Amino acid sequence: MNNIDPAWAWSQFEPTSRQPWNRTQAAHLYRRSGFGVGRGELQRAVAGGVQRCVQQILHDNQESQSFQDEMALMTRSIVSSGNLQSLATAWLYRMLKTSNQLHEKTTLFGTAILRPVLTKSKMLL
Amino acid sequence: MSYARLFAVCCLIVAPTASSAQSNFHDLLPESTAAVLQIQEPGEILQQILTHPGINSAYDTGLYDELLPDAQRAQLETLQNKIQDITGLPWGDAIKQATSGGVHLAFDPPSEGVLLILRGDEVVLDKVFDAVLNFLEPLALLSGNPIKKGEYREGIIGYQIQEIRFAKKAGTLVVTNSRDLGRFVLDQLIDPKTHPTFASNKNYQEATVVSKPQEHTAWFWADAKLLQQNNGLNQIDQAMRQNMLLELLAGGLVNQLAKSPYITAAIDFDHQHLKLDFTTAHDAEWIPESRKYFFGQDAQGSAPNLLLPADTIASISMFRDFSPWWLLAPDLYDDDVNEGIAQADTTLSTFFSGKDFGLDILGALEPGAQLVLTDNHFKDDAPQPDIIVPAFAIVGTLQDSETMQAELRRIFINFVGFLNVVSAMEGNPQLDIELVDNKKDRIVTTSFIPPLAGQPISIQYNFSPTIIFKDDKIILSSTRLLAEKLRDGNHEAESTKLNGNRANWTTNTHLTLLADPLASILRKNREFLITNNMLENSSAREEAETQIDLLISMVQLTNAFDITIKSTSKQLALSFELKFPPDDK
Repeated sequence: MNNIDPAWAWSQFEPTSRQPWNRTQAAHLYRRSGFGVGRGELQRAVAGGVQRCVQQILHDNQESQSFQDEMALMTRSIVSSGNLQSLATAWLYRMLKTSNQLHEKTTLFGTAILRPVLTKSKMLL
Repeated sequence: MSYARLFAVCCLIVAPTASSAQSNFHDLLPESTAAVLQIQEPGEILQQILTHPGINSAYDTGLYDELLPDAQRAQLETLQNKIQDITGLPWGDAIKQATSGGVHLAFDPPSEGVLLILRGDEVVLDKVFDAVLNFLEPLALLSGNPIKKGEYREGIIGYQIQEIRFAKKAGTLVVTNSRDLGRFVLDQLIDPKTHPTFASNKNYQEATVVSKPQEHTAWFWADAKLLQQNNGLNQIDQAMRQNMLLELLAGGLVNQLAKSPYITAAIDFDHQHLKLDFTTAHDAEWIPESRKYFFGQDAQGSAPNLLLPADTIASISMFRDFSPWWLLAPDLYDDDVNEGIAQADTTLSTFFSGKDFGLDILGALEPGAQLVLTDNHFKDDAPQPDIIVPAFAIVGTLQDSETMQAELRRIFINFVGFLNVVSAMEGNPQLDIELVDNKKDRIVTTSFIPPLAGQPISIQYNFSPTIIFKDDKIILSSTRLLAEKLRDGNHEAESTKLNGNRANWTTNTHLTLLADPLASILRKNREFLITNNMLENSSAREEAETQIDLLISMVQLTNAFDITIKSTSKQLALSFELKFPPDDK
């Protein structure tokens, strides 16, 4: 690991004949940055090129205001019912339906990694 | 089932039948017939259905489109057009004339045959038959089961699609799945004195005298042995033994079903209601000791009147002697249920200061109870939760009210204290207690301490548990407003008005469900229901909204739903009645 060149590691991915931008690569990117996509979406990602695909994942996938309002209504409804366990289901629903999977994946990652650390250090207790 | 078979049965049900000159249908059935269904005027029912306001509403709300796929709707329209073309009559009129002699359905156990007999105007029946045959032939051919034809006797042509056989003779159409049964009927049509028939069945004759089939839209009779011999009763009994609530609501019917020689069901339908009325014979001698709680010692226990305060969603009133029911539970339930009862008995005895729950607490109540569920209302200054839970109350009568009032008041206060301890452990709001002791009544009421400003108003704020003692009555309610409403007003519906054409029968149980208040509470909780639907079905919000709105629309197609159990010294009736809104609503 110590021998990895940071300049290389952070440089922009350029497709080559040995490592082309194809469906395998696109599927890998979508799995890492979210929860995967369907075949149609993969085909569009390959056709549009890697830069456009990354741009879309990072910047163009923002949730609409109406979706955020729906999620706010859902959360309020669950809190009102007193059944807070359902908030976990609501989060899964959001992961499934959101246009911004990267945001949810990052949150999930943060929760999975940070919560045990913080709990162990008694910051959450 | 292929379309051809489906339509052979379904479409012909709506088709032709008899003239007055024809022999009685009982004479066409074998002696061994065990069940019959008679529809006197099917054409009239069809008209009632087609002109029913609920059908128009179903069209408007899209329910019709949901239920009937396009392909089936197209086939139905094709059939209607064929009937109109061949008979020269509007299809509804053609069906009415072709079935003017009634539709009769029968089951014969020895041949395992189901039989449909349709009788009506011979000319119209012939034309409708041709139309249906014309419609079915290509469908049967396409499905690889072409219609077979053959002559039976005296020029009668028999037709067959797979196992469905049909033939007609002089204004009578016979459809059956059994060759032997079909031949029996045709033989009787040709020569009515060929075989002994169902007309001599004494149980059936007795039932027709008591139940008067001609007064109903449709009428069903079954030999109770059919149910008794096919393990049906064991299954019902087993279900009762495994479910406390089911036994409490309907356990008393089981022994009557086991002993009754027959079961009848009368169906009445018009724009006002749809009613299904099951009747069996009834005898106090048939009631075992363990089920005397259901009917009382004299087998004529009468339920108190229904409570119907404003905005009632559901109300149930029943005669039950709860003390013997609890004490004789080992005879009524299986081991699993009894284990639960034994545990509950111990816990409840602790709650009730060491008193025996079955003997001392339930034994202090007169038989009978009233339960009511209403829309929930809140005072202007009270916190109002986002989710509205209906208010509910139980009303009973105390045998020794002076002694029991003090006892039950203490127990109620203890119970509130216990709830507060549990709530505190879970971070839920606490109940405050208020005691009111008038000369007229005694009240112990509670309310949740209001939340701090900005904090959500949780579902608990639907409740303000209250107990009121008035004279010998005890009112235990989930909210103070409902308890006070029941104390202050006379909300009891007069049973004579609710008994309809059975005014002289004793009402044992009466449950009513009212559509408008139910729709109202569903609308109040629409957002919660939509959220639940989205999470359970992973559906989009628009889809969930459509489903919930459809549910509310379906509720509003009705006015009320009633279930009653009534008896005389000789008969027992279980009725289901769906009431529709007035035509002009």
